[in-house]
Amino acid sequence: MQAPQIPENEIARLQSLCALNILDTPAEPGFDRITRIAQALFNVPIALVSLVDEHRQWFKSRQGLEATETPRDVSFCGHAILQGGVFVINDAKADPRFSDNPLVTGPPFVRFYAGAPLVLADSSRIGTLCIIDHEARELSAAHRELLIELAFVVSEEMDRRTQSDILELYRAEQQRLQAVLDTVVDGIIAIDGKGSILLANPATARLFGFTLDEMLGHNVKMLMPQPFEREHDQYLRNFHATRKPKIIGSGREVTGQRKDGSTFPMYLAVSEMIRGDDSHFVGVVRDISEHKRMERMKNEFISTVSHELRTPLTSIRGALALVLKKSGHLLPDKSLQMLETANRNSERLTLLVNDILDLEKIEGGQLEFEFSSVDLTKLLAQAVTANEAYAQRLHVTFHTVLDGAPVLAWIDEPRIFQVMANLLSNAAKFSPPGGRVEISLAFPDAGFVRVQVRDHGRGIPEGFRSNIFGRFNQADASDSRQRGGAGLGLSITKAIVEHHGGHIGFDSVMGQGSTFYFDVPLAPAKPEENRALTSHSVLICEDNADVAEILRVLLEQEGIGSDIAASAQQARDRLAGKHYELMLLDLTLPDMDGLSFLKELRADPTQNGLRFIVISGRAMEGKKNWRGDALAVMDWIQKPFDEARLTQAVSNALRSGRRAHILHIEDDADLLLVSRGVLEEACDYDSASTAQDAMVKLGLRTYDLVLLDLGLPDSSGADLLSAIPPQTQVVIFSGSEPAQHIKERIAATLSKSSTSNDNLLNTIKHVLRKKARPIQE
Amino acid sequence: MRLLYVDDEDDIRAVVDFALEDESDIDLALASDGPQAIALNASFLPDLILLDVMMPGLDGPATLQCIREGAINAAVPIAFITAKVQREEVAHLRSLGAVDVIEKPFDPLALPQRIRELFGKKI
Repeated sequence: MQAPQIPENEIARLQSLCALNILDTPAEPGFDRITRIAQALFNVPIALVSLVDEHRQWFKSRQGLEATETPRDVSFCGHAILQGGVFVINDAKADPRFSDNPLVTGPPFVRFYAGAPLVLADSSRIGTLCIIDHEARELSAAHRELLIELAFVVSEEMDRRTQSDILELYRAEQQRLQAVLDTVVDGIIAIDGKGSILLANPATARLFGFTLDEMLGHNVKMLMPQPFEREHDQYLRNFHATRKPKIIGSGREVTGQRKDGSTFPMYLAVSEMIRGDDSHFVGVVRDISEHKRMERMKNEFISTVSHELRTPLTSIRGALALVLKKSGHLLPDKSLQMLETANRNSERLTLLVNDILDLEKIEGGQLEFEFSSVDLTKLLAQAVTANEAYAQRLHVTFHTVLDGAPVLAWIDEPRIFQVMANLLSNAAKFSPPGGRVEISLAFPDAGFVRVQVRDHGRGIPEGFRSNIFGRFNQADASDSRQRGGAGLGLSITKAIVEHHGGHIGFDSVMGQGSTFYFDVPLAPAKPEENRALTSHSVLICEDNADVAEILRVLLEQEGIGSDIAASAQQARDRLAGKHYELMLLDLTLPDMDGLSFLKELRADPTQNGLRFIVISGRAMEGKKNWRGDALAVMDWIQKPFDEARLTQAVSNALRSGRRAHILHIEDDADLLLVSRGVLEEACDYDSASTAQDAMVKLGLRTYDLVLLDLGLPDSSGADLLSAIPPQTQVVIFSGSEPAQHIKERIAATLSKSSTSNDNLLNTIKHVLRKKARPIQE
Repeated sequence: MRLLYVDDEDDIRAVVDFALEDESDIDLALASDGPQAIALNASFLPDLILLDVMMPGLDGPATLQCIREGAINAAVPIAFITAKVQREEVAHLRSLGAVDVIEKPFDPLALPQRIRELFGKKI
């Protein structure tokens, strides 16, 4: 016996057969009618519609046969589907291919077989219409034609069913999608590469006050207020040219404009949708007016509460302090003690009110910092003095271990004072009576100084360590009564230290005590007295010639060269001719509004690295109205300006320099997406998903930092190290530990499993900052 | 030296009065609102004014402006006393021409010293 061969297009054939959804379905009159006609027409006992799947033939319709299926390898039909025309076996007993076939030697005792393939529209042969006799016989040419015609009728019926099935499915799917689009609360809008609206859902129409008809086919700019409208074309062009997204791939707050011209804050998330050669964009829009309103109310509430609390506090604290000072000695001990308790608690309340305000600002990202060069040893001594009285009450002593040499750090003085005070008071609070708190400095990393505060308290319980920097956290609830404080201090402290690009942490041994430490950057070395001007890297855009000249001279005294432009046009000309790192911008220019000019420059890809300091009588107003990215403007300085504040801001801006270029080598596309979202604000982010891709990218430009996964599909990430130039920092971001021999080359190691977004960003910033400011011996 | 302290809060005025009563070198006058402050500036001729910011009617900044625009003792150094302690608020108050901004709640024991420092700096 010979089993049928498998056709070449077997997989496609089986797919087509499956798509019919016909296998193992009940008999249908239509097919049965045809097999009955065949039975009568050809005068045979058996007529079948047989479908050949992977392992069997199954009969959709059968006349004169009890069996519903047989194995494929004994089937006649398996042979019949291998060819185009009718497959005929006149006498199976005489044919060596079939003579010992169980269907021949046993029931249904096939002698004669003729099968015409069922051919679907996609030309796959899924089975046959076949006739069988128990006697040997022949099939005339005319009957062959007839059998093919009948088979054709069967095939056509099957095709018709497929199409209507698909259509039905498609319609149902379409309705489902439409229902989603129609009912979703957020606006969904699709545009083509030129900005024409291809699709918008009813929520979009509601949001913007247009009808769908008024939107479809029109440019999406109709939904944006000036100047975003102007920017948008430029933006799409930039994106097409550079593939550098601003909103695409992530979401952000923007302003929308309704049909009636009113505007509203909205959250917009855009994704790119590539269809063939065209790229389209899909935006999801949510009105956040209410959210914003609530946020504003909350801020105002907190600010008001804090203010309202201060007024009575002033009286209480004042009254208590004065009575204690002036008449304390006249009071009985018990009364004195009570007054001292009241006084102490009024001080605590004052700190708490400050904390709440700070925390609110930190959460809103509004905490402002003013950096300057400060002698950390002096500040530390002040902090110790300020907290000594508190420590004495707890019978705790502070011991400062310093060698006396000044250590200049680049910090916001009052805020770091706050950090020190927090750590010192905590250390005192958690020390046993008679305990000793040691304060020292260390230099763990180039460019950073570490302040360490060590206590000999009971240590931090294991279970509490992971959330010690969270809000309202104290090791146990009874602590807040016994030890004071609402548990806000450390979360504020952490936010402040991280704003300095620093790190805060602790080591603790139960029963022996804890050491809290934080790192802040060292101040940059002072410029030398008669140093030549660094470069003409600052452009002063200011129409008042006197002010411009004052600025120029001020910068010159700091060793910074600058040029002056008296109008936006002059500034454009200057920028076209020379590279500037920083622009000092007045908001009132003779030929253009300063904020508009700022936006224009931000949208210009050739001025990507340019930073801005706004110096204007309207600086505070401008800052409020500035809706562009916050990072673009390094500082807003109100006129009349303080000279020290200005020069500090300038050197700050120049020092932080251009945006760093980062290459992230990682094969997990999702992780790349997340990292991009996290890092893009802080640097120019580039990614490579294979070692080969990375080699190409590394060959094309110099990166400041490479973020490297060790497990790449085409190479171990470690092999790439030799391709990374020595001046480029390497941070390992991987699931596995780097091998010992490559550790020297690595600035930091992050583990995928335990690295939060904040952690990632801070580490990158930290490493970049170290690089930016090498220690000057 | 003559000091004019202006605050609409009776309790706080009382605290300040008590805090400064033993300071023989400080001659204190108290005002409870802007108009009274303006009048006292012209009659008492203070060497320094400590001026509360939030007051009903004429508030601190408005009072400062009136004094600056007046004919008598218009250039008197003025320091604000305020419960508005956020940086931009303090910066704004300074930009109005105040010699200092003292944040509430302040330490009454440190007040005499602070006042002397302001005198020393500006007079």
